Amino acid sequence: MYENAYEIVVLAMRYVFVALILYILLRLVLHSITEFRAVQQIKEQVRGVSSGYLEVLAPQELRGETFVLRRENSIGRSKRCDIFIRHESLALLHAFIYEKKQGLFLTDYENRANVYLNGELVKKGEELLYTADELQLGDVKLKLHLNGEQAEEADGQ
Amino acid sequence: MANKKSARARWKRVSAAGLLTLIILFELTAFALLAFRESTPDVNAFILGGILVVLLLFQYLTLTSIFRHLDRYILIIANLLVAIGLIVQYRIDPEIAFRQVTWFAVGMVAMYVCILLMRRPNFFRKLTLVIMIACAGVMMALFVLGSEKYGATNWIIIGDNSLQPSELVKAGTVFILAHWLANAKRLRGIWPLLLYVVAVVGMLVLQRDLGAAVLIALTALIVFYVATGNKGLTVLGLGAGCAGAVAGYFMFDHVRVRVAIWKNPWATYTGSGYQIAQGLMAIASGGVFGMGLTRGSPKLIPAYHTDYIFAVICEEFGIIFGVAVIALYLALIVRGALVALNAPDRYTMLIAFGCTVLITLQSFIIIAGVIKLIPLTGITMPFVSYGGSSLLSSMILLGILEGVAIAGGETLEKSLREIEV
Repeated sequence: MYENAYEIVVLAMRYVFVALILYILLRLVLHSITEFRAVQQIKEQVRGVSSGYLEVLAPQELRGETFVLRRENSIGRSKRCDIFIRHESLALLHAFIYEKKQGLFLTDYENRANVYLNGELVKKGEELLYTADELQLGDVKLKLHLNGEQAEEADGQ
Repeated sequence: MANKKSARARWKRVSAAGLLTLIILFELTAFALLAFRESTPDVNAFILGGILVVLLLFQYLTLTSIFRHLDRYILIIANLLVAIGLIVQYRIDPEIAFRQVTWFAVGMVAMYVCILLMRRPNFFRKLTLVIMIACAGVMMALFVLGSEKYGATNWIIIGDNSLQPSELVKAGTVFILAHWLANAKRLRGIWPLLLYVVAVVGMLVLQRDLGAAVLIALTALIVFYVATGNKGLTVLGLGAGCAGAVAGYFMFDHVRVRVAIWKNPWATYTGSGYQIAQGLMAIASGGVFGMGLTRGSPKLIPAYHTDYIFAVICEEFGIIFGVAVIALYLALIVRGALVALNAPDRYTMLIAFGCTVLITLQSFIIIAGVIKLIPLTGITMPFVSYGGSSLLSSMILLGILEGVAIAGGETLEKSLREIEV
């Protein structure tokens, strides 16, 4: 008698378990979407906040100066540039640094063949930047600091 | 400024307390059902159910009150999987369920520790070399100290307890991968990583722990692709992996046996194919809605409480339930990927992604093995299978993932505060 009753309960409970897990799954997915939207909204608001800054290493007279980066930055000797550096070795408009989804990119303006990234010449196209990268435009050396990123200590450590 | 509310007020995290209540409901009904299996009620089932409820509530309440930006859904998924595992284990053998719940408590402590340690990710970064040497050392020590169990010499037996150190090597590998791939533009510099992965995978193959070997090799490849986006080298790595698999097929007898069983388990039903055949029959006899909790006969399947627990779940809860379990792992991938996307920097992003890949890949390798989609390799199902080392390493990975989620949320909130005027 007891066994029969128990078996009926067990068989009925199968449906309860299936319904329960499907409901949990559904709620999980719906909640997760809500949460995702909220985070996207926050990220949208935060966009455009500076991703980092450039610090001048050389020449000596400009050393220590910093330039805060925006989403798109033109760099050159002209006052119209977002980041303008008074140094005769620079062209009026020398290079661009801009944000894309993948990160921060550097590109040469008109391939003047004097933009170097970590000692290597930047040719055609764009280069992804990492924190602590060293840029050289003309005779001006700059170091990149990205917010939130921490430089690797002593290479290969 | 139209919006004068503070960042904290503007960004409210969605609560998952409702979901937790549902999980507790599910778990309590299942344990109640198990308690009345015999005509005299089984008090132990209520005790275990009670312990689990206390643990889940304690964990959820403490974590969400301390860390506002905790990823609640990853935690909920993991808890649900642990609850399902405990129910099935209690149904098979109450004693192992009590041992497992103890491991769950230990794992929770490990998770808390990992969350706290991930507050300073650079701590791990400095220790990369130490982790690497420790992992390689443990793998080598297994050749001397390891004892054979279930066909693989990857166990260290101390008294009555047996440990599977390769489980912890998996967690260490995530940090090693992330460290070398975080600044991935200098590909020439990653040879120590390559050496490490090849050495560990090679040693795992020699110890006949094929599941872990496949898992670590694939995880390394996926994380490499995500970090560099280098299609050529990824395909090359995949090719090398395939070549290795083919070479393994011709070199090792046990690989050939596995493949033969996979092709036709019924041919060797009385011998090596017994496990897969029994598993398939269990899943089939369960049908769409299952035979009902306590109505199946899981003990007919070898390794019913560890590797083959998915077959037992399908037998007693039905295929729909089994598919839902797979869907839970899928949800875990999505949530893990989101955590990685919101991570504050590349290093922690790769750590979060590595943890996610490791957990989900492991579950798919074993589930696919059980349902005869790929040749079976002995590996545990994360969070669900019985096994101290396995649960511990899964909880550690969960803790690391949560740590990154919290850091990501805090960074976003900080930027949000910056734009407030």
